Amino acid sequence: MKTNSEIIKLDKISKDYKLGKTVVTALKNISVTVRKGEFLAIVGPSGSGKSTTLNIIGCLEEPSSGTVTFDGKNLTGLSSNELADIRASKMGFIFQTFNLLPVLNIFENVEYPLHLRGMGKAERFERVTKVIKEVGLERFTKHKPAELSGGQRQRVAIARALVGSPDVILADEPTANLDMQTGEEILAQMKELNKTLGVTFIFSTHDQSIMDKAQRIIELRDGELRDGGLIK
Amino acid sequence: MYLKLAFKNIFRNKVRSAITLGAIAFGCVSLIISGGFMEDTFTQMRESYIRSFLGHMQVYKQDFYEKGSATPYDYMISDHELISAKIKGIDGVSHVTPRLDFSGLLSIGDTTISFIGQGIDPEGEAKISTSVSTEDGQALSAEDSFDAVLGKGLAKAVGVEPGSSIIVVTNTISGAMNGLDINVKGIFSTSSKGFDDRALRMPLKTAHRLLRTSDVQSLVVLLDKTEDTDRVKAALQKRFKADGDDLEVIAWYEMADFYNKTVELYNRQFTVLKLIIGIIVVLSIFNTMNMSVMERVGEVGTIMALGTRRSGVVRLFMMEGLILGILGGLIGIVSGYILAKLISFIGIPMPPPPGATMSWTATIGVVPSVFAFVFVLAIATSLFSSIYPAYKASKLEIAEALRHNV
Repeated sequence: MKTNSEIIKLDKISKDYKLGKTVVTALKNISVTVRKGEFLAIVGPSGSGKSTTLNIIGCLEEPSSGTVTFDGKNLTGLSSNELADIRASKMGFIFQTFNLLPVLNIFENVEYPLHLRGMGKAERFERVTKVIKEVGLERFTKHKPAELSGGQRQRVAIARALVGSPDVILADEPTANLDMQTGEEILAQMKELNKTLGVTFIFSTHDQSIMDKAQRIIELRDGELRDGGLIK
Repeated sequence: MYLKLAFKNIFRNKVRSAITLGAIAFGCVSLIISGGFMEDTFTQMRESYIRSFLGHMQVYKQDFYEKGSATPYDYMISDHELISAKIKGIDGVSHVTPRLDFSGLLSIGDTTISFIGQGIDPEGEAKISTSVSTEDGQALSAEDSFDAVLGKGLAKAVGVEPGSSIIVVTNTISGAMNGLDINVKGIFSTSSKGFDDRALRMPLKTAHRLLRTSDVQSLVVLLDKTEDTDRVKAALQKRFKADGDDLEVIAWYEMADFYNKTVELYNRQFTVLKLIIGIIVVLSIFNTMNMSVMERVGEVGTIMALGTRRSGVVRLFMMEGLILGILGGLIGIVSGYILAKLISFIGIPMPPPPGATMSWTATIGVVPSVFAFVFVLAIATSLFSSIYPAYKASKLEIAEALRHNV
């Protein structure tokens, strides 16, 4: 993958939430640029706006003001179908609580995003088998998520995020529900995939040991970038 | 993909799905049993009317049915043997028999009572009036001449029994008075109490002698199958028209006013029942689907985050409703079929319906149209009740939905 070219640009992004008659500001005038192939950490304490920033990058919610550009395309004003198609074709998601579909087995969970792309059965099988092997879960393809440990479930989530060869993978606190050792293993695996596949990773965390693995860190405090955002 | 996911979602909560499927199946069984019971009742009632006195159709002189009640003898069929032969030539006709209707007075001792008389061909009538049962004495036979059979109610009213002698007085077709001494050969009953209370039947040749005529008033036609009524009626009308016969054909349903009103009443009750059961099914599935959406907010957020369109979420939940409807409907119609057969095997003893004299044993008719309707209703109500939950799921805010744990 070609690196160092710009893939995501947040320009003066603000996000307000209405709670009854009160307006709560989650993000204030954030501007961030992410380059292809980066391994970027967004850090900050709870409530600082990390998840909101990831949600806006991932087209999961719209900013109150400002523009988001993804791979050169302005996302402002796109329909929900267009945004869904961008998420399906260009993005992968890893969640803090894994968010696997409990009724599907591991193979089917990883296969799900490929269905959304209308991919044929043979290609789906090939891709899913390959990516499950990459995360070391080939023995568990017929298992349900409930039969796996937290670390194994997060590996399934990584496989699901990777299977469609997305341009960017967004991970919201991917290690928060894991013990320290498993969390480090997961992060090491993400870092390895970033290095070998060149896929851009943007993840949020407030764990110092995980921050140390990041190539670049931006810090949020009360919805604002601290010191212009760039820590590392 | 949605089909597989929908199937798996339905069976994730087996108890709840079983209760929902049970509610749908119960609704289907209720409709099948009640619909089958009604259909069987209609069929037995219809056949009883047809085979007691109406036949499948009756052939009269043109306009008799509308205008003939005041001057019935102006509408006589003289060449009835030739007409009967024509009728028998139509495909689907089983038997044809002539009748001569009249009214008069019946006397025994000091008692005199009015009656409705029918001159019949005993042999032909026996083939048509198979639902007429002889309560006492004997039925009329071809050899009888000065004999008659009386309806149960009429016989009771004048206090006669088989072997009694009565005097029958009536007007001849020219308006003169005539009377005959008649031997009561038997007492009969039909499905109609009103008919049994006033009817007297005698051989056609005796009626001819009493009325001083050789004509008849109607030709009663029995078919092989009731379903052929309209086809045979149309064929007869065509034949009579082609031959220049001044005759009209009245089908059984045009004469069976009580039957028609009963069917209408029952059908209205059945519509109310369908509505009630439909509402039960809708509420049951709505509750299941709504709970399912509420429990799966996090999952809906996840699949939308992965790129599922909102229309895909609608499709998923509608498919779950559809599968519930199909499965519930299938369970319902299979259970309904088995139960219908079982009930029919045992039989339901029924009292005589209003206006009738005979009790009967009801069964549950297996009516393909009822089964088809019930299956379609199960699917339609299931889909209908899934619309709002599916819409609600599709309108979830993704980021908000993701805050719910999967």
